[in-house]
Amino acid sequence: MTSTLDQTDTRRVQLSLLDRVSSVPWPLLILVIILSSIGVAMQYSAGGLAWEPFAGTHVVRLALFFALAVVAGLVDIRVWYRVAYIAFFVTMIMLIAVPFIGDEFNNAKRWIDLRVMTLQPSELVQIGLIMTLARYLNNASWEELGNPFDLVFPLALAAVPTYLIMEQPDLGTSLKLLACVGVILFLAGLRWWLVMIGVGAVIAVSYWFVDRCLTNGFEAAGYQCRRVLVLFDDELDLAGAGYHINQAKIAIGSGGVEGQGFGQGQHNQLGFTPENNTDFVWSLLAEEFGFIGCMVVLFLFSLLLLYGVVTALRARSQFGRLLAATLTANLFFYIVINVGMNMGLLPVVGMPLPFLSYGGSAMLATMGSVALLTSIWIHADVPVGEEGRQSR
Amino acid sequence: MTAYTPDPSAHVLDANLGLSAERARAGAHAKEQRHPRAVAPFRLWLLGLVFFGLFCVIGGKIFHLAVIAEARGPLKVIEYVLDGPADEHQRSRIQDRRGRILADNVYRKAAYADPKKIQDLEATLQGLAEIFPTLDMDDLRRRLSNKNRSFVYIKRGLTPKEEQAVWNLGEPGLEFLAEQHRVYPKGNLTAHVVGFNDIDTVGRAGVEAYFDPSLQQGVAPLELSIDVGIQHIVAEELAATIEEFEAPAGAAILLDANTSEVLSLVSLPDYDPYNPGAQSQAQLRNRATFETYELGSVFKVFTVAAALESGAVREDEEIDVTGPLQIGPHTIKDFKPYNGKMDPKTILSKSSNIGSAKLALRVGNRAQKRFLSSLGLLTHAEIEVQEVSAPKYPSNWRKTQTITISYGHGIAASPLQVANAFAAVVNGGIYRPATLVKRDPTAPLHDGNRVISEQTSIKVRKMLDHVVREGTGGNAGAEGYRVGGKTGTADKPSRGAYNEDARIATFLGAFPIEDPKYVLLVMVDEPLPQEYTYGYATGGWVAAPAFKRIVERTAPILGIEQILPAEESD
Repeated sequence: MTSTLDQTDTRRVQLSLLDRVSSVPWPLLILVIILSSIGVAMQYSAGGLAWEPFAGTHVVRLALFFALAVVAGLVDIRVWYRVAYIAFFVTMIMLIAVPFIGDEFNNAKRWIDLRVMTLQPSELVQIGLIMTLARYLNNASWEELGNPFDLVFPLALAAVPTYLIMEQPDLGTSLKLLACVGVILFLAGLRWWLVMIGVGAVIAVSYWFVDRCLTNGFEAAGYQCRRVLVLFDDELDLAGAGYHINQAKIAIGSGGVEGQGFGQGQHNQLGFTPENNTDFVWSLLAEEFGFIGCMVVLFLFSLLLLYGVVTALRARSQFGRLLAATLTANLFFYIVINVGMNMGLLPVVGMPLPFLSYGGSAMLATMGSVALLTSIWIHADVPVGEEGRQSR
Repeated sequence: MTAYTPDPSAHVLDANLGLSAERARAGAHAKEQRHPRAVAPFRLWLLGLVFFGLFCVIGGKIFHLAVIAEARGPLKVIEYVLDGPADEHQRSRIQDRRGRILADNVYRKAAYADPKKIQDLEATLQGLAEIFPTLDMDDLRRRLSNKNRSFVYIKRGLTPKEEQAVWNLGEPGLEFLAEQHRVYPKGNLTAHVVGFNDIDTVGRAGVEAYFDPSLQQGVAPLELSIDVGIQHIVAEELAATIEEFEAPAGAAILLDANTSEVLSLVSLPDYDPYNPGAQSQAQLRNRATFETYELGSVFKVFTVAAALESGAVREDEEIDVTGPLQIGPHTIKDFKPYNGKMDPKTILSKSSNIGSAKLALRVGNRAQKRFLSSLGLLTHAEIEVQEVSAPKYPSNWRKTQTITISYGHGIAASPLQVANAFAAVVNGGIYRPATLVKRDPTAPLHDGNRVISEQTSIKVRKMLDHVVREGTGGNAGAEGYRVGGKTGTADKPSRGAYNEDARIATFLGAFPIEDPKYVLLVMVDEPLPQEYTYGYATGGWVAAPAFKRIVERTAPILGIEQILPAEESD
């Protein structure tokens, strides 16, 4: 076992720039370009078939971040390994700063104005946390993953941003973060009995939450309860908590199999579906391109995620593998939560759809993930962390 | 790139759930063998499978929403947009008796703001001030600064240009809402009948208010008995008369004599139903249904009818009307004193107060009260507008009251009620409450209440015919039509006494008088005497000519046959 690693290490410790460029995962980048182009088209349609106010900014951001992602993707995986804690630290500082210097929008304080762009640290801190946990778990021993006391540190590390994001309030993003923590621990080799405890806890909390919502009754329940309860009864609160879902569902139904055509989605173009360039861009896609368009986008996303899984499998280092897999899981959660809430499968939360939704922070996080996946792909055989040091 | 070969021990390790087994195998190379990395591929595939399953659920849901649910029936997006939100009832349309629209709905945009979403308050306020110069900016600034609110109206009822201008501000905190808005194509002409809605489309006056609950249901159009064509003629002639006699106000009502359907109800001044808030009280007051007047001598018709019906007087009986008549402290005089005797016909045509008083005294106060009550003159009118008021009459109804009421003083009723009562007297003796709702012409006529016999009704008609031919109502004689009616000139009560300079001039008649189809009342409030009326501002000089012109213009529309002058001279 050791010999294999050692051989690899000696073969590929340093890659020349040419090596790296030649091993860039082109299919991944092409998928990103295709999905981004669909995103630009949707923004163009959401803006009333005009570059202003959404599509123009969207395309500029996409191009800029994509270029940055390609450059960052060429950076050695060990550099990312080294800066993992710093990335977490910096994004955490920004997150902590939000309650003090942040901007409030739609009743939630999530944004920091950086002059150049408004940043949502909660989107970025996820990448930082995943990198940090990947680095930490890269060095975790098999014994540590069976000892609950050894899990206190990584869980505490995750708890702080989760709590801060929940307080913004942004329940969706904080739960997604927790799910990513669960995924990374699971993939890192958490003992099955601990996994079962975790799954049991999730089921228990969900049950408790829904039960509490049901006993309190719809009127008395908070907005989070309402958003859950409307999932079970479409007609419950059409003007309130059920409004988004209902409008989105009408739009999706209006699209039918083939869609109304680009720019022809009446329900969206006439402004009935709210937020149809951000969190509800899926309903716009569904209305204008129908079932076929949705399935095409879902297929492209599937390919992207599959690429992420393959990247994880290819990575020899635990850091690269955990990072690639968890970033992929994070993208998956974005997609599932967003599309799920668009179709009334999941409660409405603030969750953008990667590449399609307007908004810089989520796009930065998405492109950051693409950059890291690229780097992991290129440096699949490079040992990192203690393993790397051991071999030297 | 070398392909990675999965670690063969991964599955073994991961599948081994027993901790004891793991410990048992712990040895010198345990660290390498049990490196966590080994379990990752299996778990990754497992996770991938779960994720794939979730994607399938989502794909299934898309299929369900877009294909299956859609196949059950397309969602009515277009209808929704054109007719407004489906969950909001469209308020019923209001039509006249010929289906012409009196009130209908359009959707207009309202601009509102969500203060939490406003990015640049100052720029927004400045932009709005340019678009809506009349907005109270300080008030708006205060309301938009309140971040606890999520809905602040900026302006309702936007024009498309204003909407575009607000849109162009590009402020994400400004949004639009389609609101139902009532339109009144006939404007002022039908304002007193139709009424108006407030900005939230709740009826606040007229039929809109009276029928508000059922109009809100939005089931079928409300068909009124009003005929807009007739309404126009009546309003035009009344307005001309009011102008001619420099009067501040007036009212006119045209009723179907048999069904009591109101074909025209005019109260002047009228108002703009789009902007009722900006109108004066004088404009908003409905003088046909809400205001009560002592209409004076037109009441003599009821007195004569009661006297004939009760047998207190015979048609040809002559009564001494030599004045003045002293009743306690009151002295009753006639406008044109006459010494001698008069039959009831002449009492009407000469409009003798003394004659009328004597007839009433013969009838008696109880029978008089009962009779007026049967004509609906002592109770609230049942007309379908919000603006109705109860008639005013003495609670202590004695001899003096009997006398004054006999010629229409000391009792105040709305012009509509008086016209309604008159219809019962001339239509063959059946009282049916006046209505603004179109009657189903195929349905049998409501029985109504018989108030006098057919014979008495015929006698009264002949007398009313005589009033126009030879009496005070001469000016009402419409060319080509036989009309009958009664004038009324009443001094207006003012501060406990009657003011001889402020009069109510009325003409109340029916046409064609031999078999009345329609009853028309014309009332002018405080007309001023004109030179060409020889200083008179009486019902005969003021209201009768208007009556005549209205009959001449409306009778052909109403299908009343014209009679040739030769025939008339019979």
